[in-house]
Amino acid sequence: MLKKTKLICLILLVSTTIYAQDKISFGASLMYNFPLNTIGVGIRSQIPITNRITLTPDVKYAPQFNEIHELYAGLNVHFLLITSTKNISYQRSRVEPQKPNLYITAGAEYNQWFNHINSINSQAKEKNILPKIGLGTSFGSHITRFFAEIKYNILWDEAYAEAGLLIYPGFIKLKKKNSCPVIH
Amino acid sequence: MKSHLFLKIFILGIFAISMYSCSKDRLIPVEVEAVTEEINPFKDKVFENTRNLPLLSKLASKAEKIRVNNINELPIITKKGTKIWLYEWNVRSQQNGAVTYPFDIEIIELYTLKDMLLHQKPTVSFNRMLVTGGAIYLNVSKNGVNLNIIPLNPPNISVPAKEPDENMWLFYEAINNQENFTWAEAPRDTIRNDTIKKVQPIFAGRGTYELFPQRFGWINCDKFYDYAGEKTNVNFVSPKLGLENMIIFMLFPNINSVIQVYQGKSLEVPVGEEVKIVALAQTKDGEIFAYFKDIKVEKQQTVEIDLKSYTEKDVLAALDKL
Repeated sequence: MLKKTKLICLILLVSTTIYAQDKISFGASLMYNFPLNTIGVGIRSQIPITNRITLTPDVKYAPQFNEIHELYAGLNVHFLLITSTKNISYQRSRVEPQKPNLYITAGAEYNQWFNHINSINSQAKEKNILPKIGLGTSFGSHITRFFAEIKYNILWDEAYAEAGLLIYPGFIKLKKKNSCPVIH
Repeated sequence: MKSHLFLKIFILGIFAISMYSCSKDRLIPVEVEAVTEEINPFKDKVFENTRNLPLLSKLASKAEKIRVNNINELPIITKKGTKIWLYEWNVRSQQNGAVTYPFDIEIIELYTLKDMLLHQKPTVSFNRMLVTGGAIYLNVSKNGVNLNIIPLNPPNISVPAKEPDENMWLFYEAINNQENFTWAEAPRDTIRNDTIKKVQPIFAGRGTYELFPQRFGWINCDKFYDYAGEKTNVNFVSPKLGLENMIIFMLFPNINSVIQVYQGKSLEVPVGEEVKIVALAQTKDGEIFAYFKDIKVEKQQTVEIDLKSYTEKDVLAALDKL
């Protein structure tokens, strides 16, 4: 089991090194649930796998001043429909983050509903696994990018919006070394 | 091209779903549905007309029927202690003819506020509160035909009273502008041989009121309630059932008065007075709902009626405690 995990990590690492031209980012966000009128905060990381696919683990928290006090921890896959990474040649590409990208997202989230009540939504338990789909965009500079997403919770029929900032530490180092456009 | 079109449709679809799929179900507790059912016990129920509530007719005291065969049987004494001296010269036929014994007397005696409530005879004279000394229903017939009183020779009816009040007067049944039952003051004088003469249809006796009514029917021994202090209307609300489906009474034991509330607003009543509130409703299926509450009148007070299911026996027991 341990060997298998190590293998997967290695493949991911190699994939990232070989194919992904964007860098790993970390970000914070604000979330608003439309039907419940709850607001929350979130943190996330975006790990590029290929030029078009990004893995996004995230945690979101809606504090107890909301009517629903809950926590989400999930893993989403972003598939970029319009990407800001431009292929220059085989194994070479350039990131142009000032051009907005557009992605669809799908994933699953673990939900902990702290002030759980037996609601008329019989599928909503204290602990839940929720499938989600959505749509998002991001744009900005190499180091900081704004992102916005609309997501739909298929199980509970709830939609929410999330917007925030991403920081790309990998580009900070590169910027220090070379102020030219980033070409790998 | 096809794949681009599919993507556009997919994106639009996601956006539309996100915007319009907004379930608030998690905010609505399951218990609320159950409570809603519980707090709506009147849903789909059809209620009896409050002017003729079968429950009251059933619980109200029944008329006592007595036959007077001759003068030697006088006075007639009822089970509740009313004495009736009814002579042949006190009555006449509908055609104004003389009548002879035997006569049939029918009498209902309302000597408690509970009796007045059950018979829906509030002690109110055209929106003015009365203090009651008791009410009776008296009817006299011969061979099933009602007789009338000869005004110059009224019968004497002696009504028991604990502390007779000399200011009491006689009131007869009447209907007000809202077509509700009320009491009309008996005339204080009459014209006889072109001269105005004072009439005294009631005397305070020793432990009795001596009545000399000019007509049969509902007769009340009352006086107007004079109160110089602050008064207020009491408002009634009922979130669960429309007020038109229930009768509401306010009983004033210290005043010895009972008023009925119409359209959710009482007459002006004295602030600070102790009141027993009784609300009753009955469905066409015979279900009984009641509300009993003791309050002290406050200025511009609003009372929320919370009817609960009652049995006939429970209602009677609650009324006995009034």
